[in-house]
Amino acid sequence: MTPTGSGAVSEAVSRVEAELNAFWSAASQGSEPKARASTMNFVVVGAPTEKDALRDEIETLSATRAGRAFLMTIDAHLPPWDVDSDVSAVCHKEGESVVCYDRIELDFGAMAAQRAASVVGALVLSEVPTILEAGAGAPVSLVEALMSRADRLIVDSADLGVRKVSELGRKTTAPIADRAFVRTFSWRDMVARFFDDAVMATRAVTRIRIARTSGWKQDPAALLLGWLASRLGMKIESKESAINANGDKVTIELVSEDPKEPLGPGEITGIHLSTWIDGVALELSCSRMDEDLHTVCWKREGARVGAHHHALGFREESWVLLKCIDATEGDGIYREAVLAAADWSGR
Amino acid sequence: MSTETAASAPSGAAPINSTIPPNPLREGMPEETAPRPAAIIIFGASGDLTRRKLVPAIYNLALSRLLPQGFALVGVARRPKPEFAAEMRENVAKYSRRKPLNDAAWNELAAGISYVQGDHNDPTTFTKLKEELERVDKTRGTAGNRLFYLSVGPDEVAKIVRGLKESGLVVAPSDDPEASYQRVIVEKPFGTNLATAKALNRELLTYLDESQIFRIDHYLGKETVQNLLVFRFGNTIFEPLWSRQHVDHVQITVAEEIGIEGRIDFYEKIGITRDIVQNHALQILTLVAMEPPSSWDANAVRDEKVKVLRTLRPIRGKEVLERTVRGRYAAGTVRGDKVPGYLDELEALRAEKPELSKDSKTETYVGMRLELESWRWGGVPFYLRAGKRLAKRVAEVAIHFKSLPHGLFKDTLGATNEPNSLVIRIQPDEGISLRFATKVPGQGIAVREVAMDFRYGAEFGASTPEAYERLILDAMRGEATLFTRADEVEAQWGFIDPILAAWEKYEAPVANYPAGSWGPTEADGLLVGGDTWRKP
Repeated sequence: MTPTGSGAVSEAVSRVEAELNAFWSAASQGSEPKARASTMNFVVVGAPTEKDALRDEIETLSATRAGRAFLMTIDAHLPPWDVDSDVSAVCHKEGESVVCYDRIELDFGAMAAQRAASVVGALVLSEVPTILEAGAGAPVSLVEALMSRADRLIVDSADLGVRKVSELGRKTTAPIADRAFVRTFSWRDMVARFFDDAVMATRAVTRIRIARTSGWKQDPAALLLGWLASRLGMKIESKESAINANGDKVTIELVSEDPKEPLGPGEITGIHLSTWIDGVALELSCSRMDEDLHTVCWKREGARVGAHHHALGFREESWVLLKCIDATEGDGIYREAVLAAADWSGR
Repeated sequence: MSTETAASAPSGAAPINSTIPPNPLREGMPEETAPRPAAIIIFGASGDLTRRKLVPAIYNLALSRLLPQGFALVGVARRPKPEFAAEMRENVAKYSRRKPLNDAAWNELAAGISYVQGDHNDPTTFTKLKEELERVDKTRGTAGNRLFYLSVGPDEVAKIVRGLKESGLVVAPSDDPEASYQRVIVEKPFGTNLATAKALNRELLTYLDESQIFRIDHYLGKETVQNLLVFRFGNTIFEPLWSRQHVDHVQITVAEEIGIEGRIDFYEKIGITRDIVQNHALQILTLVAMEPPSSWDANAVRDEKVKVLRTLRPIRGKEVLERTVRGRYAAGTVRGDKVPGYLDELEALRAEKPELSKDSKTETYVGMRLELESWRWGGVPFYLRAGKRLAKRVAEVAIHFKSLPHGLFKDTLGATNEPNSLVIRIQPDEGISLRFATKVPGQGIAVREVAMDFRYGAEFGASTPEAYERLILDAMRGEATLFTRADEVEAQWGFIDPILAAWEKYEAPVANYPAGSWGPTEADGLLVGGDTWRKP
């Protein structure tokens, strides 16, 4: 790390540029030529207290998606128009070449943050896309300031809440990926499996029951409900009811359970659906098992019958982030889901 | 948790329409093309491939959460293996690309691992297997979907498939997308010549539909091999250069440092032409030379590959002696170690196996000058070489562009006037490198060759998926683009067979080359127009 002091915004940009030029100009340092690894610009915004964790995140990400990384915060202790900057690089040998990527840290004073997009615009690698992540404790004003530069926005609705995410979504045309949505993949996959051979039953759902552990600042059920409602063509009427694609009433029921080891607060513990197919009732459930909370019992009764146990598995956050960056096929689906979730949440 | 059943059916409970729409909950899921629940059954489960490649690949798929929720792995082999799962755990710990072993992921996978002991010549083996698969359908939710991986010799393949068919373990594919599937992966070598390949295809097609047969060539699962198509057809700037107008010649190299590694009796029957050229090298050639397919559909891609094989000018009769060179490594030094020659190894083994030939003509090196009779490639030599105990382990394609029409800088300091070249490295160090001339900074004009380099490891990390991971997953998805079709295999053999026949008929010499070199000097004579072999 090379501290470069603080100053006006344009001076900070110049300092960072000079440092980057000095680093990448191998001849001036008399060292071996360096190759730049650049698959993207990754801009992560977070609270100053989260900087160490965000540095670790960048480090892990760079091992598989190397590029230029920016770590940005608003520092209330800085004079309003000041920017603190810091440039560092990581190099390693790849065969006979030295391959490097760089990281730029910028701490903005409260007013200077408005200029963040212009700063990033001056410093990004122009040939590759810019991914913006609203990290833990990210000041929303800084995220909003940077959104115009982003080709993709990554959020965590478990932290921001679905209503805030949907507000951000209305302000940008960039695709949004949500860590919380990625984390629910196993649940969504197992719910989808209920209907793989009973597709017509998706139109006839009359009851949704979601159980989750309490104590988290955001309701994890919201996103699942939003996804179900948007995919199944339901119209939400209130927190407790909706109308399904066939025009019948859907009862929405939420169950709170106390967190218990190893489950923390805000975890889904079970999903139950009631529906119909060929005039016969179909009851669907997928619930964590008491004897092993990382395993679920997936069960169908009525018109279709079957039961299996499946391990939910564990997904590291570095994997979740990679999916948010790479898995673009669900972008449109997510946008619809989060809007429906915000609609439900606001009732 | 209680469930509540409504007393009467609401309006949505009408009988289902005959046209089943897609499941809306699957929309936008990365797993939209994910495999359905299935069991993988490995025949030859006690073999080396299973230990070193297949089970580690399946574990890595599990670790990446790419396997379906309902999954089971069943090993089948003659030897008793009461501790099959535990044994596989050790192998995964040793051979997985990702270390250390993740206990949670392994335990989850191991819960679905089982083993059936039996000889596939014995019908009761298939009865036992059927019972086991019915059990895993119930306990693991594998829904009757089965992927049979035949990691066995070519002589065993048809017998196993017959057994599977007769025991009802495979049935004809259905048009119903919800129906269970049964697919069979067949390992190379697929036959040992055109006649045996045709016979095998005929027999397999008696029991299976072509859509159920996945002939594996693991080279096609390598990232860089797949990237060849993306590089060519996913960019606009390269394809216009990809023709006889701009390309002087193409060199395809598949070189290994290792020797026969104790497989000498196998090699005596096979040789490197059957082992490497008939499949890997010709597959690479097809990807380099093919026309753009109309889509990424399996048949569209394979149609174009077959066309390339059909445009290969056959090498027959005495012409084989001019356009091919076969060789055999002699003693030499590889990576600083003294190593014995092929004949020395053969001689050493003859004490144990007196049936081994005293007059071996088996080739451990082959070089060829190929020509494609097409508008795109007419007149462009494709040089192909494959060898064991060469100087370096490398597989690559080098596109050598034409020389400058006018040497503007020919008298300039440092100018070599070397034509541009584009090298696609398949292994190791996967990547793409473009060589071009540049001005050395400073007063006046001095020229230097530089390389613009893309390395997978640098951009995406070193741990890219192994070829078997991709191919197993594709077979579970029913995606056959990276597998070889019957006519493709036969076209490959159709090209190779006359070369092998002419070598025998005209007693083509087997040129010696020292281990650790780039092959016999005789191979230099294959190159025309002043071209020289690359030394990567």
